[in-house]
Amino acid sequence: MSVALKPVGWNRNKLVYDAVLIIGAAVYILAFLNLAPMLSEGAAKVDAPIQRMRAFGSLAFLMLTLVLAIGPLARLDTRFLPLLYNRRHFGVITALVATTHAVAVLDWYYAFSPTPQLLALFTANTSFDRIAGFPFEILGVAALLVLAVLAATSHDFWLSFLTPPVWKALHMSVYGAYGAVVLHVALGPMAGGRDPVLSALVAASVATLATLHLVTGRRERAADAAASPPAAEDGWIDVGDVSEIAEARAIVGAAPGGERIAVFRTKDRLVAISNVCSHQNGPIGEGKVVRGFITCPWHGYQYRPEDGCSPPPFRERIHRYPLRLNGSRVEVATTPVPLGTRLESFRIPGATAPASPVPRTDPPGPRAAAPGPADDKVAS
Amino acid sequence: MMRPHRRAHAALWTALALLLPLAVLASLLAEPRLSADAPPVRLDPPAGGGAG
Ligand code: HEM
Ligand code: FES
Repeated sequence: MSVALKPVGWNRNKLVYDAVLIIGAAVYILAFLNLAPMLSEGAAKVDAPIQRMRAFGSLAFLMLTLVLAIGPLARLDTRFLPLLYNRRHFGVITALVATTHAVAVLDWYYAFSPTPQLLALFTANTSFDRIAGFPFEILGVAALLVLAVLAATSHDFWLSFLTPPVWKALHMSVYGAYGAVVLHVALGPMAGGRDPVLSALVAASVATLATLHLVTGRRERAADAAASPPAAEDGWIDVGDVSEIAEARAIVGAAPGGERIAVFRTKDRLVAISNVCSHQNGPIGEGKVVRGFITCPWHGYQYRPEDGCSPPPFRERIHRYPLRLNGSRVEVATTPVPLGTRLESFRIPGATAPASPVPRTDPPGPRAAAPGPADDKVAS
Repeated sequence: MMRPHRRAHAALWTALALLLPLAVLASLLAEPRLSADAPPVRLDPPAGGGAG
């Protein structure tokens, strides 16, 4: 794992993304505060601070639902990819909205409590043994704590400090936070069917997210299970036909039991590279070659085709695999060359001039001890 | 790296997809009950007329 810090810096896209989020949130709050009393008799009787607390609570829930839908949606349809790009800001803003909700609760519900507000929050209700009347606030606190930790560790500094596997595992706790929020709302404001609109919102959210995540998860695991067929020679797999690969794009194969491997075509050359981005495990094979660099579709990390390294000053490295053609079939070795090893990309014979069937060997770089079976078409 | 991640993801979402609808259903069907120290005068109708 690289220890280099490579923050994705501020740029115009991010500012627009954040502006849309913040304006959207403000519009929701204003609409909630102004429309709810008109649409519902019950809401008209409620004091303004409670109304504000509800507006921020329901907005936090809505945002949490949306942010959790972005991942699977982007897996299902690439048109959702722009949402994924800055998903972490979405998460941080969600945490801020949820905090506003919690502060509004403390300010109002416990404002006149003789015990300190936080103590009152934990001790006012201890009916843990029943459904309606359960101290659902505790579940909100638990969810908010998780959201706060995730927001605080969302920066790329923490990603590289904790290493991507640990960071990924930590950030999966957002699913637990979502579960806690659903229970918070179900056992609190929804209990006993008191609030049909809120109940419908929560039911729709749970149904949508569970379906999206289970369907995409199943697709991903099916793709893993349908590993590429082995090639004639041991230690090689048949990834597909060279004609299937569009210029600057890739096809993706999978070693049995191993990680997926992307085969990119750039001009008259083929490159086999790990499909797992070293940033956040994004699917590199769904990206493209931009100005000569293999570019991850998620946040745009780039890798040089010849050695799998990010261009300086960045220090990310991902694995490359020996590759060869068998007729028009693309075969890839299942054992990668050591990280950072220069492995000349494979020239497609007769693709374009200069028509040399054997790839040229580049000036000396770090030399690979070719791990797969010796193959004279792969220059090391 | 991705295979264990996908297994954990599948386990988590299967659990959530089973538990959350049950929890939501249970709480919707539960009789709303006032806590023991609830004030006698209330605005919410289920308490039985209350301030009405
Ligand atoms: C310290 C943390 C939290 C506390 C103390 C808290 C407390 C409360 C309270 C007292 C209510 C009002 C219940 C009622 O009207 O019967 C409520 C409602 C709600 N809370 Fe929280 N909450 C917390 C965190 C969260 C978080 C993190 C979320 C979502 C991400 C959330 C989402 C909601 C929603 C959606 C409602 C219903 C609003 C409505 O009536 O429209 N809460 N919360
Ligand atoms: S996962 Fe972020 S750039 Fe690849």
